[in-house]
Amino acid sequence: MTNISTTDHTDLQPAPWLALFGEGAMSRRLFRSPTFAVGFSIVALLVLAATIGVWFSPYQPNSMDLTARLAAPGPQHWFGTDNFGRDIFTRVAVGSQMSLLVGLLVVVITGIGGALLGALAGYVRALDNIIMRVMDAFMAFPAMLLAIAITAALGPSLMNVVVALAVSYIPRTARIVRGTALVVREQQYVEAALVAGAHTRRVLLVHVLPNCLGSLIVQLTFVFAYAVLAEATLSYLGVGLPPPAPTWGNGIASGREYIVEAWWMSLFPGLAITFAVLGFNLLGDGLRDVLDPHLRAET
Amino acid sequence: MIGYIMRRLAAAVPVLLMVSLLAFLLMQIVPGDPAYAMAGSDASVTEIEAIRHDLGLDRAWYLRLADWYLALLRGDLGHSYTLRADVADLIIERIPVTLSIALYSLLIAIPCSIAMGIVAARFRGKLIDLGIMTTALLGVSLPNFWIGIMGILFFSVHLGWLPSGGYVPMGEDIGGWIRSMTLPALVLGTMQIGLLTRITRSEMLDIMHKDYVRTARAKGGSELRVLVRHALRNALVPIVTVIGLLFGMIVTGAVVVEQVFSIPGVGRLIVQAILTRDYPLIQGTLLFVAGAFVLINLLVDISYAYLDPRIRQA
Amino acid sequence: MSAAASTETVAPLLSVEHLRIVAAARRREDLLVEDVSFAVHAGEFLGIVGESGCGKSMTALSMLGLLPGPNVRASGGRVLFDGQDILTMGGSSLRHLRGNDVAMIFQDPMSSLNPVQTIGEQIVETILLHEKIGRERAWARAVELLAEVNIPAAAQRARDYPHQLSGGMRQRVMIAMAIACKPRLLIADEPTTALDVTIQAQILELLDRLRRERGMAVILITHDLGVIAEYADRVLVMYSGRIVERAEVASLFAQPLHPYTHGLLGSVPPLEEEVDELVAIEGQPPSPGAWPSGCRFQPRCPQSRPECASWSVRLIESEPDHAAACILHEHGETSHAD
Repeated sequence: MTNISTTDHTDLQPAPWLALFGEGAMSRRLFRSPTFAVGFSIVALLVLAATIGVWFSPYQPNSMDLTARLAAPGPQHWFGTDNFGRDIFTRVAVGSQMSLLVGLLVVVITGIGGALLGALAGYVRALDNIIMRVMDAFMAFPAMLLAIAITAALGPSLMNVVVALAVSYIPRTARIVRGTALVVREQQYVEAALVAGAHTRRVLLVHVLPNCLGSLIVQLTFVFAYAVLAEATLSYLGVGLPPPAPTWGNGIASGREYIVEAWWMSLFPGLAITFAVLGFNLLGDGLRDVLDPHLRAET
Repeated sequence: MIGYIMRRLAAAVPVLLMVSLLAFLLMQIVPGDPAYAMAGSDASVTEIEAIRHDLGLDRAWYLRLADWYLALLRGDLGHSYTLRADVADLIIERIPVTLSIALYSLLIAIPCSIAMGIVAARFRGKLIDLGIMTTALLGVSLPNFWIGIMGILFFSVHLGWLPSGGYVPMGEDIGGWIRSMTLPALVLGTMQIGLLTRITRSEMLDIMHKDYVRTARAKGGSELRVLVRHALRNALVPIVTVIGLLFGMIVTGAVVVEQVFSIPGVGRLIVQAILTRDYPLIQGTLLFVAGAFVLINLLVDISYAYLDPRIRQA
Repeated sequence: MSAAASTETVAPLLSVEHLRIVAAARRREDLLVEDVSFAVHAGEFLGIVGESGCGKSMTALSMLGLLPGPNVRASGGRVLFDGQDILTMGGSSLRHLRGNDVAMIFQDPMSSLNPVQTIGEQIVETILLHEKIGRERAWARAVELLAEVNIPAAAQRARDYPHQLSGGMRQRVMIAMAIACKPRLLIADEPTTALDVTIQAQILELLDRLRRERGMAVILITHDLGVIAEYADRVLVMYSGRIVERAEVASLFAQPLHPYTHGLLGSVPPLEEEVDELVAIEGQPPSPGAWPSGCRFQPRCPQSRPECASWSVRLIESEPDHAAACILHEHGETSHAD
């Protein structure tokens, strides 16, 4: 009985994932937006570079060749070599793996954490005040500075960087989900589901989360962009992934000292960061126009 | 107006309490013993014990928390280990440096982005709009430490126009200050320009369709007057909000830019604290930044009341 | 057009000739207004009546060159003010015209005033845009104007912000702002729709008084025939972008010619006893882009004939100063079905 009535009410609301990935008009509408199309192409290219780009290079990212130190870009080394004679093209390609990995992990953790906290705060009145006040305190610190402080406290490592970035973006994500949850809670079909005996957990999963999915996807796309940028910044400041790791930020940091002799050391990793961040920002803008027209560009 | 300000002030107090608790807790998550990390690998047991005692690590956490709050009430942010000075003094010394680059960058960013946002909104869908929006998007996508380095490469190494780093106090030599601060301020401003241009454009697009803008046209006002006196004046409230939000971006930007250009400001102090694992200094500077952020948001709230008579009289 | 011009010897203040307005949407153009012609004389009170979407507001906006471009534009015809075509006017002469010769007040006084300026400043702005006088004198004028539109304690109210005033007061402010530079034509686009019924009469009374005192022409756009009956000298009835009937107010109410006007009169409380019952018009007006061929009222018309769909629509004058765009009058017939 309970089941029947809740399914009945579920039918009344849109299921964004079906609209997005089904054969419906959503994907066509998305690709009609030039912003989305360009962003999507850049991100696809990036994934391609991370997966098969390395095959095009005969070099290992960490193999040093002291005879070919600081070699300028040319047929041997497309992007030149660094102060240890390491091939920069290879390091930039491997760096894209690192950036995408960090971005992906941050997005997954931020998404789960933000959705859970936001839904709880928006749906369970007793928890709202406590959760949101703690979130406010977190948001009083600039996101990247909080991330710097957390990695400084925990020590530099891949997992710590991911945790630090996720912690700094969860409050912002939770706030968006909470907003939707507050609206959904008042809807008739949610009341009907509760009257029919549905559990809070079920209401959260079946009603609240699908409704915030649009804004959540948009927010997480931007979080991906921030994460790539922040990871590079942490590496540059020396609190990210420790040096032998071929991250883009590390590449620029070591290039800083050789700026006069070897501009290519810092140029190419920087272009890669710009390219990646631009791609995710465009993707986010395009998604927002289609999925969530009310959301504005916010930090 | 006074009542409005008092209410805002009262609302800031619990946030400040939580923020200082968070700054305290942050140092409790340091794995292992911070004293080991601070003393370095070749320290003796007695040295470590001394540090532990100084940090209060040999006392219960609730006593340390009580000490932390009592010290804060006296305006005491702790004592730096590596620099052998009071954290509060170290910060105060460096505030003018960071503040001057921040204001310089805003001075560049605000007029530029408001002008760009208005033009983009006015010529929506035209080539110039596309150009401005692409520039703005690049602004939020470029890593600022990297454009800093590229800027040094181009303007200092290649053209030799500007110094590659260092700081000249404004009081000593104003020309030297401008030369040393222009590149850092431009770099710090890129992301602000990107964000502000986007916000200005979308707010202007919103407001350009309002009835009172049509009224302004019907009066016979020129297009510029309509856009600036009527549309922009109303768009200022959301734009000011974003300028307030920019503070976070400016602080993070300052950390990076001061590092790139070797400028002795608060940002560089934070990096130095982190790289030398000077925990009291990390804690103190963080709390200072968060406190300043809360204060800026308070100022933003108050400026709303100035900009919007509906809030002033509420 | 010759119909209006031939009966008048004095040159009209404003004359609209074959006005055509289109809205360009992606890859198509929708007609909003087609072949609209009429004239307004100094001191005259002209009413334009029609349902929303009939093109009356667009016609009004075109008289100030205020069409919400770039998508909506006048694609044909002329709007002559003092013999000069407003549609082809350049920016500076247009700005000189607006607020100075032709002024306009809008439907929603809540949103038509700038929320961050005091009402005094907003009136002063209009004055200073068109006259070379000092700010203090302009302010004194603004206060006088507020008093003239019956705002009590005008000197104090001038320092108020729009949100501090009631809707009726705000519309009075809009009127004060509109008459600040003594315009010769005031266009009022549904000025009372957003207001209380009791306030409506006061605002219209005020408009009529100002018209008489200042000798300015007023174009009142409304969907309310009752208002037209009380204040207007002449009336235009618009339907789906066209004028369907043009008449002196008295003859329109005495003897409506177009079936649509009939229907409209049926949906207002009867003025005279001849109107036997209240009949609302069946159906909804079609939206621009979905207009039927021939007479656009024909699908809803109780007297439609097969020929209506292919009739080339034009205003036919059956009495002096009374014209209707209906096939029934083509052969001198009258439309009285009753």
